[in-house]
Amino acid sequence: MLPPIILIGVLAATVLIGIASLLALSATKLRWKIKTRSDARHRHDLRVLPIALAGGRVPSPAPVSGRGREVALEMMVETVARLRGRHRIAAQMWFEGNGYVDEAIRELRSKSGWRRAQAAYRMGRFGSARAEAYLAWRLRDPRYEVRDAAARALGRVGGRDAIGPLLDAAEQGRVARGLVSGALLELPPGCDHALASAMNGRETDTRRLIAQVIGLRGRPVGDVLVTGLRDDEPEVRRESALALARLGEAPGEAEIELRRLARDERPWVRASAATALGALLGDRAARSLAELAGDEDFWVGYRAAEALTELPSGAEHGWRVLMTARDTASDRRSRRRCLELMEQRGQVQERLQASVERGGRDLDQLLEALARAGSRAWPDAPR
Amino acid sequence: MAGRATVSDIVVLATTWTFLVYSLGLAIVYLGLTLMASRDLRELTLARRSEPPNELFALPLTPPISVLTPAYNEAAGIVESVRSLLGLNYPELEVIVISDGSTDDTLERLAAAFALEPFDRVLQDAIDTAPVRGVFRSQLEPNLLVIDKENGGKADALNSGINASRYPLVCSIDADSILESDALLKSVTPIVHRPDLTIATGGIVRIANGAHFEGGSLINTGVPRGLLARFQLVEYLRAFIVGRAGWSRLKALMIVSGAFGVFRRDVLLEVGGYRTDTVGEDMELIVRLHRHMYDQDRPYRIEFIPDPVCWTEAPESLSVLRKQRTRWQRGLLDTMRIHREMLFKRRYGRLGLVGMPYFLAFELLGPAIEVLGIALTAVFAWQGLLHPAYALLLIGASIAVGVATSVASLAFEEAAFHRYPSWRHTAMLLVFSVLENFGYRQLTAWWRLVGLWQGLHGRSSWGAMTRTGSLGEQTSELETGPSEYWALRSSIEELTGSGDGRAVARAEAAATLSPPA
Repeated sequence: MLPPIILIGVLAATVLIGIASLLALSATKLRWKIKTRSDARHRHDLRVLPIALAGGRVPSPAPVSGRGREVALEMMVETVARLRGRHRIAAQMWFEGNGYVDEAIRELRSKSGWRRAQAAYRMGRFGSARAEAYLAWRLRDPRYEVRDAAARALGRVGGRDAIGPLLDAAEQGRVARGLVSGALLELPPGCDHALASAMNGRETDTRRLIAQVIGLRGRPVGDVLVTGLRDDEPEVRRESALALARLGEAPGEAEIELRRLARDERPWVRASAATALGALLGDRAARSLAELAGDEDFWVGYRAAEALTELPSGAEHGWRVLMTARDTASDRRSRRRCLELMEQRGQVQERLQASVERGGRDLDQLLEALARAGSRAWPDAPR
Repeated sequence: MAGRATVSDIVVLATTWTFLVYSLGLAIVYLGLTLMASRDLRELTLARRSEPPNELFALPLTPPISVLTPAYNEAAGIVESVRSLLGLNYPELEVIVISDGSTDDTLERLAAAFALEPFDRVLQDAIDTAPVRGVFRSQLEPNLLVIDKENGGKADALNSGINASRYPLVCSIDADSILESDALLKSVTPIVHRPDLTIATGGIVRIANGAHFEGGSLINTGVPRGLLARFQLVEYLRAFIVGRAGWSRLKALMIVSGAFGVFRRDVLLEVGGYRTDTVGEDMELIVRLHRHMYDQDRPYRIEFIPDPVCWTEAPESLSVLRKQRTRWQRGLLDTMRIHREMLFKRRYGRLGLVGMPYFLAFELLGPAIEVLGIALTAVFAWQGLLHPAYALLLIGASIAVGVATSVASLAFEEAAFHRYPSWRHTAMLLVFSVLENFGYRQLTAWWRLVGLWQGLHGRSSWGAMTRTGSLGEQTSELETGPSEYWALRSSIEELTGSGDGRAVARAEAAATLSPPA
């Protein structure tokens, strides 16, 4: 038999652990209650700060020390995210004047990872240009949370000089590409051309990323995307085509390149060409799009049909294409537009009439298609 | 009892030792997990300040997600829960409801609420499923898709949802669960930060009984009225907060709850989706993902994030709870059976050396030890083989261990989440984490033992179900089927060893024909 002393020992140890946990629980709860209450009081006392900011004035100084100082910072960081223009400049002056920027720069050297991440995040909110070099340095932090926060912050406060370090971080796998794109998107408009010229000599994935970001930023930057259409890598060609489609305008030579892409051997390149052709050439793309709508690849047909429904003169295109478009378009708007076009042109009645004249062989099929399309032109169509 | 050791002495000694070692072992594991989890949770609570979830929302490149909701006879709450899903805070999502051969008016209610119309969406047939009867889209909600299919079980429904999804991430969620509005954003965060590495994330599941919801969102938390739900609340806190957070830290997380998990769709397709021949499809999938990634030597992470919260209704009746627990145990047994080759293999890292053995000893066989330990101790005391005081001491020690772990996990919950702000609630939870050890715990252990028995005898939930097509590797895990099939498989393995390429190819081609039923 086990010596009872072992059992008593186990019992005593667990009881001790239980009591310790109980004490820890009570202490944590009490601390939390006190903290919540004192934070609420501080927030009440300090509410004048964001109110002053909203009025475009530089608020009164923050408390010099204690919990109040931290609460004031939290409130202002929350507020500044919603501000623009002179209100934001007032906030920047407040952060700088109260020494928060210097504190954050010191915190960037902290041993604790979350403190560094928090400091990086806040620097993005402070908007101080002095932060740029420090943040670029933190892109090499051993912790990914810190690198990510630094990248996001760099997008907010950085300028032209931030592009290089951000792209390097993406290429070396230090920061996820999605986050780098997000940061690049937030850079000020003055960085457009610097971003475009960064496309030279970068890796395929980076070129693709830049093309995507240029499209999302929505401002044309010379013919860098047309060069992208001629890129050796199909991914870059595709992304450049989609970016041009987003921008909605392109230099003349883009048309030739896009028509060439529409014959690319890879279906996903052809699909992007369909989208871009529709967005850039308008009605002039109708023929190519009608061809692409019958593509052997489902997604190429789908994108072409989608683009067709967006054309100003979508009604000029044949019944078949419209039906294809209607059945494959991904969103309600496109589908409804197809129906409207079909009905506007009286094509519904025409078709039915023609079918009856031919002996009604395809009548069932037509009725079924109409019923599916929910056509108003044939209210009695059987469901 | 002095003198020569008799057989009964040896039996008594063995029993008491096993019982005590088991109780202590469990306590040590929990203590270890608590320590593991504490660092993560502290980091998490602190890191929350450095990136509010809305920061991610503003990112145009946050990957879009397909939310899959399998529904079988869920007419009562389906409309409400779909509305709640459509209202989640996420830049781009589609909700796919899969009616798994519902016999009530689930589909009709959806059709009425969302003006459904038939839609010829071409569904990929990446994973084989029971036949799909129809696909519907809503004329009101462009992001809603409803699939009506023949009954094939939850896993099968999820598979057809994976087939239908358009987006790179999929989230599986039970139709009777409610997600907090930021839950999706938070659970996608690790994937955004480390897109190449993170293949799945799981969130915490909390008990919705007693909490107050309005329009599909949480108004305030509370403690349930029913006794059974209160016990489960304490149990969930322990299992999720301490257990899963600790395992995640160890990189050996074996369960992402079926009620709420986010996966990369491409990896799901690689492993062939959910297995339809087990009742524990959620756990089996995670273990298979681990195995797949280890086998291919690919670095990966499966993360547990304690922050995104999914609220789920806990059963309040004994019979439903019993069914749930026996099913869980059968699922666990299935998973351990299917992946038994991973046990104690260094190749599978901490999962093979720590995670799987833990689940074998404490989760699968634990109930047997627990039930037998108490029963035998009582019998021994009654027969005079053990002094009654000694027997009480033994049982007391085992119960004290249980109480201590429960209280520790409560303290942990308080430190990290403060979900139950009032003192009254905390006191109630404390009382129940003590009471839990007198009756409830033994009851669930008994049910789990019953589940284990059912799994081992007769009610084997997986028969000769076969998968074909892209799931070539799955066939090797089939255990049933006639001997010719296994003879063929073993001949392939021999051939693979001998390296005769052509013969292997021929035999493989023959073997991809599923074993005859």
